[in-house]
Amino acid sequence: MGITIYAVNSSSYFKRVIEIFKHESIGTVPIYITLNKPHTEIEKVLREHGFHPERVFFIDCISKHVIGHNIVAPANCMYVDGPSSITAIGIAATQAAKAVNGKKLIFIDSISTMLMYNDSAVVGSFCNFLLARLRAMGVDAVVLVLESDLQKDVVKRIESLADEVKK
Amino acid sequence: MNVDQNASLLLVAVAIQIVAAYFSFAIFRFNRISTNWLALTWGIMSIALGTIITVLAEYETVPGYTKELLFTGQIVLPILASLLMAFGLWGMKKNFEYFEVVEKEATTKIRTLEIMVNSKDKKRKK
Repeated sequence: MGITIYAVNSSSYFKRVIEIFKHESIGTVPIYITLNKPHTEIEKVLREHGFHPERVFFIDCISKHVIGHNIVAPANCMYVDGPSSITAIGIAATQAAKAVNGKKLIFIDSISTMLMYNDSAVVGSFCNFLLARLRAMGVDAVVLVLESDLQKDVVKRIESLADEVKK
Repeated sequence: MNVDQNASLLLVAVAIQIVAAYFSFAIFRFNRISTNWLALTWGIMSIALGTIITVLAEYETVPGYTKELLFTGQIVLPILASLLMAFGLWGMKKNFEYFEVVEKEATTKIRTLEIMVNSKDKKRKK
């Protein structure tokens, strides 16, 4: 599969994200990087769609940022300080991908949220580094972006790093 | 060395300090890991300012304030610069410690999860 970018419409965003995740994560150990919603919310929806979320490893970049530092992560999740802790997100993603055996998938939800918290140049270099690293490690990746952000220069540059752009 | 030569050398030092401050700011702009890092940039700028004030004092450019200028350039600003640089580097140290924690947590947790999922799968097959 390699690296796939999905441009998702904002009106039915979450529903579509769950569909993509269910489809792309078949036969893999999925690592879900969430910058939008707390992992508890995603787990709940996945369960409603007949998926076993306890098989998914979450890198939750929003809960600590909104709730505070006193939350304890469950076994299948780790918290990163916030969506602007871009280096920590990169370290967590590459370490998790390195540590797991078998086929794995890094699912990034989403570049659009990352752009809300970080300078576009920083997001550009982060994606360049992370996607190149994942490719070298033979790890598949799905990167989500809002359709409305497709015209942004940084998203166009990220698109050039992907094998496929889907809508 | 006479006063002119000393002043010229100090101005060269100021130029190097400004370049160093620029590099420090460029590092911040490149990764924006921590805003604490900016304290280092301000620290280097304070050293440069201290050097300039010292040169001005030695040339007695503000008559009657030479002692005060020397005190500011040689004592106050170097202390401020030291504090700022220590604070900036402490912030970066904290960040690197956090990165190490993240690295270990990611590795440990996903390995544990993998073991749990595999044992559940084995039980199901049985």
